[in-house]
Amino acid sequence: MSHQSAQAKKEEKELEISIEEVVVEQTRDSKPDYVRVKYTDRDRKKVVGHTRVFILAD
Amino acid sequence: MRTLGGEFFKRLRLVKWFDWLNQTYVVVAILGSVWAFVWGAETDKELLFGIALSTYFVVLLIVFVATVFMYGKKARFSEATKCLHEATHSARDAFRYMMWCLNPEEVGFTFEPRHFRAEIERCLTATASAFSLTTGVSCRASIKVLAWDQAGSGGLHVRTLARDTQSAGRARSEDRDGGRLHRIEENTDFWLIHRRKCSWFFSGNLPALQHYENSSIPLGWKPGDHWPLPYKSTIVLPIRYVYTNDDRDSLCSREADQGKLDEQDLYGFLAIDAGPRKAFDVRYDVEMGNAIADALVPIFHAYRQIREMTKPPVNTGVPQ
Repeated sequence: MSHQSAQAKKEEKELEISIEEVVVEQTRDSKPDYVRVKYTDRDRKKVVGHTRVFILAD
Repeated sequence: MRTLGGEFFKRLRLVKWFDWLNQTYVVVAILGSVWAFVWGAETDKELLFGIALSTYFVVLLIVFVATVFMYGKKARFSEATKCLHEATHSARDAFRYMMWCLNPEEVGFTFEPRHFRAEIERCLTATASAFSLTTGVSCRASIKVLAWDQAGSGGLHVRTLARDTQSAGRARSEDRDGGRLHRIEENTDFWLIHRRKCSWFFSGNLPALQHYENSSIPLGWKPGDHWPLPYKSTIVLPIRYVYTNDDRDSLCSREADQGKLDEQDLYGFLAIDAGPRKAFDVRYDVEMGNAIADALVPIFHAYRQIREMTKPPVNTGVPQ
């Protein structure tokens, strides 16, 4: 698993992550609440997944 | 069933020694029998009989050693259930505290970050103890959360929210390394989970892992140099919720979640590490860690809501 993971990282190095938007969901603060990340395939044609990364660090 | 003799040995903490003595005796007895049969034979018939019997004993010995090894590991996991219970117990208490803090008017007090951190540290301390029991070496546990580098070029970076109490003091300098940003793309483990290339990251030998990146490894380090990190084995697990068919089809599904199938909400990471190589067992330790990471999800969901509640309102320049 670990070696596969590293290999996957190597292969994916070239694949760019497209951060679509930084969403400020609640407007009491100017800091982002979460970052929505959209992943596309190598050709950037097919969306392969979404992640909402919550910003919980001060 | 408890016996008086068993209690006596347990109190004297001699039970483990007694087990080891018993196992050593069996090994010596089998090897002695084999030696006596093979070297004590005077005729060909006796020699053949000795070889046949020796083969049987050798197979028996291999089975015995394998059984001791396999069940010894499983026995350590059963011992760890107490610590696992303590970890989930602390997580439950933390969640209860967060639920209270979501209704400050009702309970009469507000969210106190130090109290929250203390609860999380209790959970991590029990988690580290559970892994120390299963591995037989000292393990560390920490929770990493994410920050957005708004002032700089943008991008996600990782920060330590809390550690187990045993390793917190030693790792203080590790966590405060001159305000350096630990960018997520510079850390293979967090990056792969964030990218959903794997559900968890496991390595029993980080120095041997090709293409492994870690922002705590100093610039200029190259394979063959002294390994700069205090751990060589690691497990990193996401604290996340992945939307499944249940969110779409079950009776409890929300309309707002309908279009989120297979999306993930990522709150942070639970990281377990240990100094020696091959400390963890991929079959059981990952599952144990996942159990705790899943128990942390509702806490961090509430933590996010509380952070939003306690943020100062944006100064719009318009008098209220």
